[in-house]
Amino acid sequence: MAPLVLLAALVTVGCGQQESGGESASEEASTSQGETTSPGGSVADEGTLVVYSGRNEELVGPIIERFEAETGIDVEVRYGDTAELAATILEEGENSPADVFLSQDAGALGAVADRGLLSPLPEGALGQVDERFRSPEGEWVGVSGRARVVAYNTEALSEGDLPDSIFGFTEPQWEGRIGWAPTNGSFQAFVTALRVIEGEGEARQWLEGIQANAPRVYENNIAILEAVASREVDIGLVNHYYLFRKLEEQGDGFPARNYYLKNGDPGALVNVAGVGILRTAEHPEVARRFVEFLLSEEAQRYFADETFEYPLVDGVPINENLVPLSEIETPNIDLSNLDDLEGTLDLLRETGVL
Amino acid sequence: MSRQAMIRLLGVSKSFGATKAVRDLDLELAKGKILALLGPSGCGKTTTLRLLAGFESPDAGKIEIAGRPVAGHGASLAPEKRRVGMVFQDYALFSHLTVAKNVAYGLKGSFGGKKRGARVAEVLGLARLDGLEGRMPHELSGGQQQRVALARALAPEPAVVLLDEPFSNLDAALRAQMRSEMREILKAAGATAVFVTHDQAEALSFADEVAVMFDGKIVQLAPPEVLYHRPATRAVAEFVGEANFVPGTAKGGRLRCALGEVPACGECIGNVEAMLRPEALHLRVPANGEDDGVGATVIAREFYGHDQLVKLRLDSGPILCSRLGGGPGFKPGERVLVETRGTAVVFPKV
Amino acid sequence: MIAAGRKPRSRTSARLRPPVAVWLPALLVAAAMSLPLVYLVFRALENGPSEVVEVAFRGKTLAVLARSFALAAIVTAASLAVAVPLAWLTVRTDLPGRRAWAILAALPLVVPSYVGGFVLVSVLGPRGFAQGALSPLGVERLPEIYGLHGAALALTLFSYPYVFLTVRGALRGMDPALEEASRSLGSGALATFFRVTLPQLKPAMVAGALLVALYSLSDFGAVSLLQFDSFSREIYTQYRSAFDRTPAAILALMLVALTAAILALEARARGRARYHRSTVGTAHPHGGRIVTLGRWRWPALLFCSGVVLLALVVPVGVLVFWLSRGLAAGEPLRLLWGAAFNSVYVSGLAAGTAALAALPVAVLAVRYRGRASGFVERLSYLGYALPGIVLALALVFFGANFAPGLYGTLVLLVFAYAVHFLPQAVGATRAALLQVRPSVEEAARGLGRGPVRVVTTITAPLAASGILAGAALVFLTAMKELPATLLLAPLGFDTLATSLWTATSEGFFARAAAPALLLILVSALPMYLLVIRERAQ
Repeated sequence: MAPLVLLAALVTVGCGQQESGGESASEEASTSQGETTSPGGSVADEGTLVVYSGRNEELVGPIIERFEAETGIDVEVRYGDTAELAATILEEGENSPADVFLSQDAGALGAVADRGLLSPLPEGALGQVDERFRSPEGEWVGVSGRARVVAYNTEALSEGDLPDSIFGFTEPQWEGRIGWAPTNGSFQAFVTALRVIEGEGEARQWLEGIQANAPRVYENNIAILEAVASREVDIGLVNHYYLFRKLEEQGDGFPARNYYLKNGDPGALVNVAGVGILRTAEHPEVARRFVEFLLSEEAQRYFADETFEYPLVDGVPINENLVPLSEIETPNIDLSNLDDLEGTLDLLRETGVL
Repeated sequence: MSRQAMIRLLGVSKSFGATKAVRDLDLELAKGKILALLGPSGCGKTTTLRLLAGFESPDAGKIEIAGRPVAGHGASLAPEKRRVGMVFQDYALFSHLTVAKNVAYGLKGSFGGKKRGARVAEVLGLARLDGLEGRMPHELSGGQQQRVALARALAPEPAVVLLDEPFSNLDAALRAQMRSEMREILKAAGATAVFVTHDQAEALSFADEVAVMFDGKIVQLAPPEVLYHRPATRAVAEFVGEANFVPGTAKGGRLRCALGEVPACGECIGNVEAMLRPEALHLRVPANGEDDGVGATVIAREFYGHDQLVKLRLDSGPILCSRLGGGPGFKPGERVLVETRGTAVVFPKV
Repeated sequence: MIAAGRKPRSRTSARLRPPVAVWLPALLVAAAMSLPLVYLVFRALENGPSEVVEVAFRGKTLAVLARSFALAAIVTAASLAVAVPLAWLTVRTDLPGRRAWAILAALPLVVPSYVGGFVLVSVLGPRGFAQGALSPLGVERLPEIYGLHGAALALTLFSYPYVFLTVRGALRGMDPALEEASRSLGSGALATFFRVTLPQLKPAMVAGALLVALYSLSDFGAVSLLQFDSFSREIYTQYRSAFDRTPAAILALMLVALTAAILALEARARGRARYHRSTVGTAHPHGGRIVTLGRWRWPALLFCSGVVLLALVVPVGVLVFWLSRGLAAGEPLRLLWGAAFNSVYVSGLAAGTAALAALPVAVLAVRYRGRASGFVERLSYLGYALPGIVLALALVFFGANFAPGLYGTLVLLVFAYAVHFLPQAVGATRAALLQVRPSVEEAARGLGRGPVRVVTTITAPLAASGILAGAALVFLTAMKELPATLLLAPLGFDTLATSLWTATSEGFFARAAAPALLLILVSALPMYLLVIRERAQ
């Protein structure tokens, strides 16, 4: 056993540890593992912030680094799936080492808040963001927004071919042409909104209607978008920003575009990624500074420019290709109420979608 | 002469890499006979057995079984087609099958359901395994397992049965009993058998003919008595039993040596080395004052119950041993007179 | 490996009481194994037993149960169908280049299922390479890759080596005289294989099949990518979509019940074959007889290359393709040495810990066979069948609430790995111990050494290569582990697996390719050693 570990150590010491000078957070994080290789592990000390992030490292890593650079505060992040992290926080309970929960969607924040694990945010921070995009109890605040859109293949369809309402896609002409990701959090948030706005019965009808059109199932939004581009399906239900990434990667020739549903249709839902401070935070002051940073112009510009999301603080310019938030006819809904995912799940199961 | 040779090897050679295991071997065995391949480890006896079975193929020479060429000179018959039964040193019973199924394993083709069952019963009876049909191999004793292995090999009525050191896994006490039982079974079945051993007592008691092998060659092929009493070389003589060697001169069928004048056989004349078995030397206590004859002093004595081996030094020097019946014990230091009864075998002096 | 031989003399050492130094560690190991179960029961009963009943007997749940069982059955059967001929071809025949084939055939084990599934979809999926290559030839739509058969294919391709390795070991340990006896009795090579070799291999086949079956229940990566709703996917969905952990815990307990059923099946399948060593027969100077393939060589080679192609060449090829495409597009080459070091370090620790923990359990199972030892062994398999997320949350619960000093440290992560992968170490250690004759240990006892000294100075060294094989397997599997690592690793502790996940979850294939290739390469080294060592034995 000891020889094996020794061998393992020798093999990799031989390779050496390199700082490849990459800009991403993963490099940053791995160079700090020098202190974590001891069995004692890393324990946050004075002036350190512990963040549980359900947002991907590639996306938020850079902005966290900027926070570290500007404030000199050390930030340690546990990256994972939003729901798994929420479950972890719930299991940890009073003994959670986390200070801040950065969540991909409002539902997870709502669930953690419901268990009383989030502490109220300062008024100043809350005030910066529209009511639609924060917790009525002041326990969490949205940081960036993403709109549900219908991505369509430009070679097969034009905007005029597409219905105004999400219910239009239950028509038989759309059979075999739809792609969706029922396990994706954003989709489920949309279905929850559908239930809240239109009622359980209408929601069920919509689901059954789409099911009747034999939709193709994908694991995530990227896969749907690629399927739309390759005409495996003609339309897909996705979040808005993936298109922009693809446009950046592959240029304007990419054969897909976003379409926003109209008239306050549930299909035009704007969901938010948000942040909350845990009641068990050891350094609430530092945590507040972090939240304020995320709502600062610098961070909001970052979300607009780098990840193509909607900044939620007024006065921050958005990507020129994006339809402004004010123009999106979002449905009238309290995002906190999107935490009844259990009910959504049951419905999805009953209709055979999940 | 091959009146009804069941197996025949002609000029067979086999090497493994640089080692020559079998060198230009000639061998014939008549039907119904049991042949022992006797020799020290590494002499090539096991290789010869495997050549017969078909698990090795010869580099040169020819092998025939029941008159049919099976190897060499273009022929190359796979083991399963040779009609050769084999009993392995560790029996190699199929642990997932019952005794009856083990024995029936090699039966197929012409044996239908009933015939097969009858043959199995017949062979089990022959091997004295009645009542054990339903047992699993690990439920049997060593001796029983060995008989199952033999029964399994005999069931398909092979041309020849090959046995690889069949008794080495048994207790000493069991060995003698199993030897006679196995011989009875083989004779009752009319089987032709070749078995391999390094134990001379086993070879002498079990076989009809013994082939002594050294270094890949057969040095002497003869029935046991001939082998014991008329060994072809000094090495064979030493290997096949206890032997006394004395130098002497031979002429015209008589030998003169430290033991006096003794009848001799063998074609050598002049300075020779003579071999006498311990049984040929008789000892008696000298009567008072008797000084006539070959004198010796007892050095040591081993008592075996049914006989004793006495080691003595002749007055003239050589150390010999004598085998006596369980007679009066001789103690070390005692004076005895040695009388030679029997014929010496002479070898050229090396 | 475990061989169903027969014992000329039976040893009744099973009646002896095991010494404290053996049963106490085994007990501790058993206690550690049961932590996840305790957590699950606690969580499941949180909302009262009525919810348990309601969730457990929901129609959907029972359907998932049936589907998972079907998946496990198909993957097991397919793995056996692939691995047993491969093992036989590389051990018993004159297949050209069989040593190389042996290594190549075992290597797919290093490919993580989430990488393998991904690659499979990208090659055989509706938008994949194969479709692209074939559509000019007029093939409109390839058969659907998603669903049961896709998931079964992915799981089979990357877990058949479990069976391959165990069966290979058994073949090498088998007494060649058995096959020779069969041939001398008139059965040709093929008939001998079916009538004698295969039954002798049954224990090894069952052992490997068990690992494969339970792995297919616990794996999430492959079934999610290939969109098959098995238990693990259902459990994950519960955690990801609902924030009530109770239904998930109930489902996990049902999975445990399914595992117990499979274990019971395995015990039946082992049947009357006793745990006997292969007989210490004639030390055959010339080895076992090799079967000459003749004309069959070509179909055999075709078979071997087909398997290796799908399971190894294609995944590595696709990854290299993505990597080069990414590099050509200007992506920097991210050689994540830090993450690689972390992966190797923590996997090495896990391997060592698992090997140590397996020793008392295996000694108990082999030398002091009885109900208690069987129970401990069964318990260790339950940890193996649980999806990683369940194990992780169980340890989060215990760690955060009962052992805060350990929570968030490497200790807990290594512990998680050891609990999760213990059966691999136990199986290999047990097989190795079976090869050590009790007479050797008895001789040592006769010379005045106590039982613990005997184990450490005589038994363990003799069984060393088998124990190392088990440790190597654990190392490999720990390298690939993802869900528990994400939740339990110390903050900032990146492994190759987590770096991979970061890239793939946002669709950055090119960025995922480098860590994936590095992972496969680093894991391949101990794999190679594992198979080469075998040769030297």
